[in-house]
Amino acid sequence: MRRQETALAKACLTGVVAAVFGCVSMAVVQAQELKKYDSSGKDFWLKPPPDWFLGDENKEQKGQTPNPGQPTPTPKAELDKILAGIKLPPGFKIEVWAAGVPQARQMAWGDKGTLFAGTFDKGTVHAVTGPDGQKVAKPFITGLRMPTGVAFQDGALYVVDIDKLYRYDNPEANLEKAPEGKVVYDDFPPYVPHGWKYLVPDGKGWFYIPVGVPCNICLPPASTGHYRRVDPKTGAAEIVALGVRNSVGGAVDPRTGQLWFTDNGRDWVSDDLPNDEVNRVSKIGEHFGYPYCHQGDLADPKYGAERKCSEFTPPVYKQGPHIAGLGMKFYTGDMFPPEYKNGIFIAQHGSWNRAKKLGYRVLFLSVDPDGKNPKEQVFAGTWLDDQKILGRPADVLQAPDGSLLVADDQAGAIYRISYQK
Amino acid sequence: MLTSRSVVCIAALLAASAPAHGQPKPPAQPTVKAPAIAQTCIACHGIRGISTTKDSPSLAGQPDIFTQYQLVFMRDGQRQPGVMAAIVKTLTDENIRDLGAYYAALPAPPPFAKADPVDADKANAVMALRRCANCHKDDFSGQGETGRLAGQRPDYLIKSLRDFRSGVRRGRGMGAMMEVSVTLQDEDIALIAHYLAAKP
Repeated sequence: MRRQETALAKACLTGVVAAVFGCVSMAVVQAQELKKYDSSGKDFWLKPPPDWFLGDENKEQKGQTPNPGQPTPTPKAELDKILAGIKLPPGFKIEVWAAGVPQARQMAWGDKGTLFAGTFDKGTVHAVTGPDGQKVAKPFITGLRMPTGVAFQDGALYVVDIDKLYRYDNPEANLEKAPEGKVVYDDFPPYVPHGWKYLVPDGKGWFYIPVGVPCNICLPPASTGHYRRVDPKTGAAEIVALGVRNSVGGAVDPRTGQLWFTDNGRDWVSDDLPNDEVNRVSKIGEHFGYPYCHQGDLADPKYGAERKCSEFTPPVYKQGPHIAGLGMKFYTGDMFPPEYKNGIFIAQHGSWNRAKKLGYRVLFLSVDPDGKNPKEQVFAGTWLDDQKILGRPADVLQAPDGSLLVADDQAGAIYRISYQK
Repeated sequence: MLTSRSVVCIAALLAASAPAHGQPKPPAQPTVKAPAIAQTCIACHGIRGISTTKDSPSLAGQPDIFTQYQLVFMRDGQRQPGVMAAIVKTLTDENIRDLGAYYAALPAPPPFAKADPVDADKANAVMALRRCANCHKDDFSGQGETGRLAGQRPDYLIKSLRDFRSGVRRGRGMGAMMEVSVTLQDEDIALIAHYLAAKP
């Protein structure tokens, strides 16, 4: 908070509204109310109250608040110490690839080896260059709002902001000065909450782009709650998946060409429900349940009466409650052992709506092309010291040599995971 | 780095602020090491972060991350730095972290002596509607990225709320502070400011 975000992201909150009566010198807490508001109706979400993520709070989870983030990136020496404590399977190692990449979010490789990284609410896209061991991040594009998603295609850098998709031609020609951004699509709704996006190239020149719902739980504006497929060349677009709450990561399965995506579930049900999801889109217009049904089998307390869970497509995999899986990629490299081929790496950003933190790690998931037989492995983790947050993976990206980069938007760094027998 | 010279300097300043003979001594304050960079701040933000300068906020007892974010915002240009412009330009990330930690460790300001007396019920009504305590906490001591309001200079609170109301200052993320202040009348702002300034 998300950030923001995220945040990010976000207004922070405590769980208690104290009504203080009597004179100034004697503060007596009279009542500890749980927050409630009427979030039905689209007008509410055009101007959401500052604590919109609360919805209807419950007693058990009172006091939980989104992560405030980290104002400055973690210095390299401290990152090295943290990475020394990160567990990986045998043969794998993790190191700092670039330190000082503030709020590093989705990553994309330029044709000439520049690594571009979005940010959450700094409005900036960074360009990371330099020899190995001396990577430096510099602001490349500035003045945007929440440019969390980036992609590189046909010699151009694409950046997706809340309501616009920009194209920057031949960006690596001069990294000191970004070219003028051309808006290639802007038919997005204006909502900021859950409006920060991710770019999933479909392999045919189009992008799958998520449009999150601007609420915790609501009947969302019809312009939100789905995945679109957008042609950056013509601005044509279509809706491909419905019932999506807040997705900030997805990838096309190389085995089938189908879109898979992570989806963050609603808050304020309980510490353990609902799970965040991994979904597979097998046909256009498929509906994944929000707001009626969560995780395939949990009828929503408010909207669940209107429809049955059996009407919707359940997730392929339940990631864990509030774990916030974001960026995900299918692994297609040759560096890692063969059992990793065509499996999925997921950056699990980590929970806030839960008493005991969950996530803050990279998960590996092997699963059949039809979504059957999911097998999970905690691949790299955790970025927690007891309940203190050391880092939050936000995206993963394969490097040309088959190693895996991990963007950490809390510590402001990019890590590299490599394998040697 | 605390040089012997700066130690002497701080000791002298502390001695100068000791109470007059015959009055009860203030409770012994924990020794908090000031980073060298904090010397620059004293002129406006006061000894040990308690400001005696109009429109300059007290920094003592502000949550670590809050102070860091304000310095980062001013350095990045997300917040107009005003008189802080030249200062923030030279701040490194390490300076910012040191300053955040330092001010957070300092004892919070006492209730502001010259706050106007206000109707507490009215002030609380204005704040309850906007859920101020949700972020700033019930005792308005702040947390995380949200500032401490209790004991803050009322002139600075007034300035801040007006800046949020007009959009000159955005605050973090989705602009929660702008949202809550946009319907505040001048009387509400003065009411809240003096109420919070006098809070222990």
